[in-house]
Amino acid sequence: MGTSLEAIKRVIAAFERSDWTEIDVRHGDVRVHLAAGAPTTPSSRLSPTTPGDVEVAPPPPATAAADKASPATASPAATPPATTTPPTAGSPAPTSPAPISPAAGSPVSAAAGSPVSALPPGAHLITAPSPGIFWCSPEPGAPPFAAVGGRVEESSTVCIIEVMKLMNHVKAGVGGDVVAAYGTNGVAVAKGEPLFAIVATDTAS
Amino acid sequence: MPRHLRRVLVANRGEIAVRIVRACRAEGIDAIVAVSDADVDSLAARLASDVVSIGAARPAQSYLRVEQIVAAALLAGCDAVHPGYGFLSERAELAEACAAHGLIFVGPSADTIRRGGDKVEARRIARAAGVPTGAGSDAVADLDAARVVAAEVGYPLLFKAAAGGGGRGMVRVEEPGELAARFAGASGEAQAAFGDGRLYIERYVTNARHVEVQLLGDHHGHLIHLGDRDCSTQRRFQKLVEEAPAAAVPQAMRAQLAAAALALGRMLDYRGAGTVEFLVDLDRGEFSFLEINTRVQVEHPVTEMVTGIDIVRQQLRIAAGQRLTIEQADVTITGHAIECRINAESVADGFLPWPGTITRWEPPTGDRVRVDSQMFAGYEIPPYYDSLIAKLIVSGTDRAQAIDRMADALAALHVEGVETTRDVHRAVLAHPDFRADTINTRWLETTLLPAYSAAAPQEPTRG
Repeated sequence: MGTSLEAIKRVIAAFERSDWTEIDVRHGDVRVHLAAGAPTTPSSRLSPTTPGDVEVAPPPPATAAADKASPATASPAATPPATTTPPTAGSPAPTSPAPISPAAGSPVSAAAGSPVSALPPGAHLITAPSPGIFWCSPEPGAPPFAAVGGRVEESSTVCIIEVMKLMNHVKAGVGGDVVAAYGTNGVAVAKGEPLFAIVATDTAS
Repeated sequence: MPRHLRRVLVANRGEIAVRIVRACRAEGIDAIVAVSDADVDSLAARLASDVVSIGAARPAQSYLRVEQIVAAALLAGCDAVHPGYGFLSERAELAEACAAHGLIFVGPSADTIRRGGDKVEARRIARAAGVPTGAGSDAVADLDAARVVAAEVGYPLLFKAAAGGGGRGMVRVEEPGELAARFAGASGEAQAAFGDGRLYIERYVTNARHVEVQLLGDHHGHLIHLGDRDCSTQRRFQKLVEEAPAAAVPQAMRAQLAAAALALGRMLDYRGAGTVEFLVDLDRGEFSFLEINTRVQVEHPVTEMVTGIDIVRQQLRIAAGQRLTIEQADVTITGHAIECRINAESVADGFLPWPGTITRWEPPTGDRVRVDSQMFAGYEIPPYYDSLIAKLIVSGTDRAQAIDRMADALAALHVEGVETTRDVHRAVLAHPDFRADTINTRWLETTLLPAYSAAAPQEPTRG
């Protein structure tokens, strides 16, 4: 069942009289993405559809709608609605699923990349104890638990594997220098997947 | 107010989304399921009339965003929102936003949710309704205040988060020496988990049973109860097995529990489905109020099995403003029902959640066997949500028959591709303490699980 023009208008009206900063919902071929505080697009049109035409075909995945959508998609937090002005409707653009980088999933460069085969001899590999989401730091924006070039203690937490609402702190298990990191923040890993390589150091040396 | 809902947005996922879609269908209502990117191919999505995409997989970016839920309902032309359990179901903000944008919230009023959800406030209301709340406190301001209360209440005691509930935000303190550290830890955890560090204290009842009463109320002042449930088989305050009725509780006390739940419900102008939870102290022969859950419960099916009343369909009718046509005298409890919550977890790894792809899915079938589940062969359990994969529910003419039937149902459940907790349930059902109904809320952790772990190396939960 298609989305009616009335429904799209209801969403826009709801947005305009609420304090929401951003909504982005998709029903069939219609995507409604509205963001507050998009002053560069003062002339937001109420609907991109022609009256009566309630089915909106997805446009090519181009930048066509990006000029209107970008203030919202790029950094919604950077343009909070001023308390003195009501939120302005941005673009109700029925864009194709344009890439919206999920905030929590934004890669916090975890020095991913070096293949495990290039592991120095004797290095200790820390692997994922279960499937889950790899988190390199205790909370978004915080420094990572462990990074290449850094040192970890045997009891140090090197990352969190989040699995089904359980935050599992993964311990180094060995003290030493971190020589490789394989996980990407916010990305799922399988059980046994390598996370870090540690070269054990003699604490006496 | 309409007499019937037309299109309902299901603002949830998993088995309860499937359950709500089916109830909508039975009521002649279109069910539209709100899906995150991880759930576009879920069973609920497949069964629904339609879906609306509400964001990325992580709950904070989809199922926990009030504005996304409301916008999705408006875009899909819905007239109501069913929140299920968990996620936004007990957030007054969603009920308020629905009302502000012309949508019916399938649940109690925002005011009821707010007063019932604040555990300290709920205790106050319970006392005002004449319901015992047990030894404990209102919110304790600081460690010194906690010390004073602790000296009165005695040990062991529990710190509970004022904004917590559902077994989350609870910390046990065994003796005075632990108080300072536990207070700081519990307060910090409550702040992190609920954005509210307030704690209150309750006496920890060592030999307790968890008993709860199901309520149904309409918009016209009619409030009834659907009997009780016993949910004492718990691990870390999370329920594994639930039963109806609470057969181990003396009949006289069960009547008192029902009366207490109704009194509390009236104080809250309760409408919709809700549950009042109690702790029954078996040694003292007393009960005390624990909390009120202003939503449908995971374990609602056991009540449905023994009363014949479809709670989710009643929720939909009540939300539409219809009068509850069931009188208290119409509610009769027939037989006994048991539910086992099957989780995708590795018991050998300390119940570590275990997402993955289901390669074989064969649920039990048969007379008086019900399976509420979102599983199917080939389904990939996402790592973002809880680990519940199925609820097995059976009923029998009495408890013994229900136990036997559940044992058979568990044996007939075949899941491959992920680890499951099935075999722990089989051990519970087979245990003489469980069969004799002499367990308490600590039994699983102190008796069953140690024996289970000590048994021969566990085969992976397969076959």
